[in-house]
Amino acid sequence: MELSLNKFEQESPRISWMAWIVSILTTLATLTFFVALSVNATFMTAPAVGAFGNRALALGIALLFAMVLAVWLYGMSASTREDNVSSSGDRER
Amino acid sequence: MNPASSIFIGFVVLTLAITWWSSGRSRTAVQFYTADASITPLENGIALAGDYLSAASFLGTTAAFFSFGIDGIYYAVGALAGWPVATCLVAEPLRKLGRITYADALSAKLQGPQLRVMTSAATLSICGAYLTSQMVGAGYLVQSLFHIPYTYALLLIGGLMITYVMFGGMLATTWIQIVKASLLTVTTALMTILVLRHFQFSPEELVTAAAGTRSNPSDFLRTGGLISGPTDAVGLALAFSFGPAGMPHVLMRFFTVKDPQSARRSLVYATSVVALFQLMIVVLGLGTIALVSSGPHGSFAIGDANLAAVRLAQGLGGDVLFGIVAAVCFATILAVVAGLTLASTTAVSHDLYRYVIRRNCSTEREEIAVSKVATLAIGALAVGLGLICRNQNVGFLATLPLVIAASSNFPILVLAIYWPRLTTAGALAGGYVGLATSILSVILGPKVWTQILGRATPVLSFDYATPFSLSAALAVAVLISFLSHTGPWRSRLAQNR
Repeated sequence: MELSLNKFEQESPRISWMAWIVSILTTLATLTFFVALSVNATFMTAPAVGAFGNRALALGIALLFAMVLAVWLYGMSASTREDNVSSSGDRER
Repeated sequence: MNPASSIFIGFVVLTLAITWWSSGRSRTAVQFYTADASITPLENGIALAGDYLSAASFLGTTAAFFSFGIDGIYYAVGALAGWPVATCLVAEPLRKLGRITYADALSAKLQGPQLRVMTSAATLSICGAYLTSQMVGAGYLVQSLFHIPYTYALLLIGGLMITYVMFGGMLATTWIQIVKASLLTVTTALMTILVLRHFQFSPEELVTAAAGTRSNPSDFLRTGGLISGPTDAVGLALAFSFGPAGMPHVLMRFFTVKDPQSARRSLVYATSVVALFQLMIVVLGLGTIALVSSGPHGSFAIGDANLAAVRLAQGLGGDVLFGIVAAVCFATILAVVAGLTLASTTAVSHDLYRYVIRRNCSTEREEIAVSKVATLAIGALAVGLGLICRNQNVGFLATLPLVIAASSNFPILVLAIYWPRLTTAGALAGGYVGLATSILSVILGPKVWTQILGRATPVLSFDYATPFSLSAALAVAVLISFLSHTGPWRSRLAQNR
């Protein structure tokens, strides 16, 4: 059964600013990391080979941990923000 | 019977038992498509991770390390990049609005059967490309493991996946994913421990040994071999960040839990499993460089790099570990292709047949019957695609669907959820533009145009056109929505003029 517009308006959850910040920050971090790798940026490579002397590896692993932490912090937060994601749509209907 | 055969046969028997058990619980359409929303967040999280942790991830990422050194970190980090976006922006609203497919959620706001045609086209394109990468990996593995010809291997896989989906539906697919994700994680952990033990549990020794395989060790530190430049880097980053939130078989899993909060929690568990797996893959990737290329098995011929992880297992644990890892990889592929086949089948029987062809007048019995036929057809198509693309890097093929998903499904889904002025016409135009530009750019890029089609120079100099296709989809959706909107804001605009 198709869902109605009213149902949409009643049941759309509000997404908090925290969700947008987490999404934007993780995307920007990934973009920066990938571009830096692609141009072999100096801050990605240490002068010597060694245990995580290679900063590309160290930064990559740090990024993995940061993303997991962000998802845990947001995903396990107790409250669910209700309503008001969007309220119109095809009003011509 | 060798260990590989025993494990593989054991897995097949177990999964067929799960399918038999599930078949009695998959009689209605909702049971077949969503397991009646009876899956717990933890189970769903592990199954989600299972959907994402394909053999292409396992074999392709270690192959990327093996072939390109440190650049393999692209795939290891990228594999996790999309989960925060999916968790924060998509999971809850989608579960709240939809019932079976994400087209249901879009239909909560937009209308018309054309919308379902567009979402089905995107779903079938994404799943088709992803299925291809899985089938190629499976063909190589079975050929290596059982010495079965590539073609027969694909037929075997096709037959099993059709059985799982046709009789077990979402419930069987979910539990097969759980079993497979557990097997894959445990096996990867075992290999990781063995690699680290080889280097006295010293990451420094591991990295030094990997770098030592290069004629000039400092070459090991040099990045940029896997990706040709910043344009491709941005394209790949955007595909990884937004692709998972647009993958149909991932989105479909949000409907297998009882409520939006459970959907969000599922993603937390999935993210944790994927992150743990990728950390272990970094160690295994370095291990393949350090041990495989300089070890007793020597260098691989081109095309065999995809089996570097399996060869590493052979080097570490002899034929027993080789057999275990190869069998687990095969099980992984089986589970993933089952999930992809179910998503494709649902698009055909639920979105296309029920809402487009029968205009929501079909019976449940009819819909289930169509889903069985669609499963057969999609299984046959997957085998055919696997035969055509057997010589491609499976890691690269696994990223293609991400580009399509990030350019067609993701922008329309996010606009539909968060932008009140999106209209059906805008969603349709944006979705089709994103789909067409992403597919076209992949075809015209170096990997397909020169390596598959054999042309001298590619039309486009980059492989990952996500920035352009995503921007085009968003721009067109917004523009057409403004032009086609007849709501109150447009009236006000007309009055102001």
